[in-house]
Amino acid sequence: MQLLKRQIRDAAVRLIVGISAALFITWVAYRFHFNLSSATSAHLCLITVIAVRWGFLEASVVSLLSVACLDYYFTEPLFQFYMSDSHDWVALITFESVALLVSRLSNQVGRHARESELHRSHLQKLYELSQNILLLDRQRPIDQQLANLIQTTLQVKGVALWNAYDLHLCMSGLCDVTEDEVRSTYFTERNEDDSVTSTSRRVLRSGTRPIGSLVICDHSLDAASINATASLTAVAIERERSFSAESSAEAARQSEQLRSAILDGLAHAFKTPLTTIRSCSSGLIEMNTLSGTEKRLVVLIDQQVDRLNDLTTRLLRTARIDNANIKLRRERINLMQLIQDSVAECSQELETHPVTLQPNTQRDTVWADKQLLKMALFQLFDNAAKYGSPQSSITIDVREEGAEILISIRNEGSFIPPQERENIFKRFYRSPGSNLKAPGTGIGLSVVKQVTEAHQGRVWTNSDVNTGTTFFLALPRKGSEE
Amino acid sequence: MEQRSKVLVVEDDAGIRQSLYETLTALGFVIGEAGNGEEALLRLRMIDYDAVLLDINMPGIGGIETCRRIHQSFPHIPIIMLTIRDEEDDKVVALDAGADDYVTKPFQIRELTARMRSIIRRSKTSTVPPDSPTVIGSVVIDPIRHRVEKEGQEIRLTPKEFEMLRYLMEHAGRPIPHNHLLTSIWGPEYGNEREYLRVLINQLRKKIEDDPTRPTYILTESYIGYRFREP
Repeated sequence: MQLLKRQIRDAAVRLIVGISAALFITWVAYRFHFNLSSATSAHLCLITVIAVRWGFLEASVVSLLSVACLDYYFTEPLFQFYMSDSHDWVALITFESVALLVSRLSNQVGRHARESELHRSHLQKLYELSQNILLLDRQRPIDQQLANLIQTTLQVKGVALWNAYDLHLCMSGLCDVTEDEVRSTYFTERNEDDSVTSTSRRVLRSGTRPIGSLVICDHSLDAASINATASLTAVAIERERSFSAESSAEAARQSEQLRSAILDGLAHAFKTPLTTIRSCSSGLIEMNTLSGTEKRLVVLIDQQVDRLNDLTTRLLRTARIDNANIKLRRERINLMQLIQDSVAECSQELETHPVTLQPNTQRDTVWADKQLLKMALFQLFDNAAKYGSPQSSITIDVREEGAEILISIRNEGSFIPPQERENIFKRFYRSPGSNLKAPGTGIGLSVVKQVTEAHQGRVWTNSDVNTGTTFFLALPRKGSEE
Repeated sequence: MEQRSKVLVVEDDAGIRQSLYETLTALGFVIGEAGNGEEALLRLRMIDYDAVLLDINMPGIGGIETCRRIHQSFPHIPIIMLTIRDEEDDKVVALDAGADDYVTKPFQIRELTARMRSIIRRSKTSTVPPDSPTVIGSVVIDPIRHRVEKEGQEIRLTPKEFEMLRYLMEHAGRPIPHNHLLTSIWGPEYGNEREYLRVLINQLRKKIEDDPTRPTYILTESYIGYRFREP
């Protein structure tokens, strides 16, 4: 409203000035006895200037006044709005036509110049935007930076940006829209330009897929510039996403490389001194020159070196296991035999827990990797002993269930809450409070899961506060009959 | 031991080398030492050793290449590789490169000396005419009469079973990789047909073992192959 008033006032002022100028030229021409053609030229000159400077409307009004003045003061009979000579008619009509034509043309040129100036300034802003997008700080969240950047670069009142990847809204400046409105642009996939409030809504797309929405409030940009801004924003969001995905993949690859390098280094660093100690201890025993006490002590050293070696081997093997590099070396395995052997090998860990073995099937041959399966069973026995109550028994049951052979290992006294039962199979995950019960690395059960899945099997757990925890390991029978 | 066997220990770690030197010397071996493959080849050219203990991981030309070169230049000297667990592929490569046996670190000296004595004995007795009967435990194989006996009873074998048993008994005490057995018995194009081998070994075990599920003659070397027990 204010703007309209100002426009009207400006137009009125311009008209008054134009009219005054026309009257002044008329007075000068009359005072100095110009003939009709000279006066016409002077008026034409004024009208052209007005048309170029102010516009068609002002020029037309002044041109009509000029015609009236020329008719009154310079055509016969003088001081009357009447012309006796038809030549004067032709002259004045020609004058008016030329005045209007010149006004029109110059006005068009002016408008085109202004438009191209505006266009150039929009392009300049978009160019700045695209440049600044490249300079965004990747260490900080990109969305808020983008919203701020759009607001400051395009010089608009407010910007709202909603990202569909993290369902997050970012606002910059003043924008009279709610989060729901911004989101609805994404869900309805509709671009809108509201000329009353000068607000534009755009769906951000990566290719044809919508990835968010952008609302720009109170702006003076054309639709094409808004579209271009939306495209630039979408590209920036996608670029950031692919960049972070790439860098996390790279980080994972590097940490995997580092892990195997450290493990290989550790393996060598541990095995070399162990070899020296063991060849000394077993050599001393073999020489058979020691007294009774000496021999007993050396045997103890030898046994402990053996134990340390087993622990190191097991730990390194367990830590090396990774889904990506499990190479199964399957062979036909008598499952009961394998379980008995594994229990015997865990005697140290299971020492205070009586083990009950309940074979419920005759067909206990599986086609599996012996070392890996043994490793998985060892982890389950070790866990059952570590977390079971002291002196409690451990029950191992083997049965056929449908297409699977099911091994279950039950201890007494431990409890895993339902929300923990998935997590405990994740690498490096340790249940809250488990540190208080037993030391661990959070690797063991993840290895059980990986080994089982490599055999196309499943592993899961059931737990009851009163009776204890049972781990189930199911291996496909299909594999066992290959 | 009437004559002390000369053994060259090739190992880059000084601690292991010293412990082997001390213990094996005390147990009646004459020990030479080399810190790498190049030095080992040099020593072998100067001194006539009865066996070589060779570490698989060494700087320089490495254990496998050293093994290959020793086997080429001195085919009569048996080689025992010192390996690390979990590296079965390396063990097969070592056997392919000409090693006669391997011992996994950290090892018992008793096990090591038993292997050493066994391969030295084998290398000394390999001059026996190839077609003479072989006796291991209670199993006798007579290649000329094409006859196998266990505890005096004849055992009937198919031609493939006979060939396999003969091959295993001729190389008794040595671990033989799957692909060696396959190519020797079936032919060069059968190197990957593990299933053939598994079936044949099972048949053979049923005929010559007392308890085929707990074999005492044809022993499984996990991931490597099979070994017929020591004579």
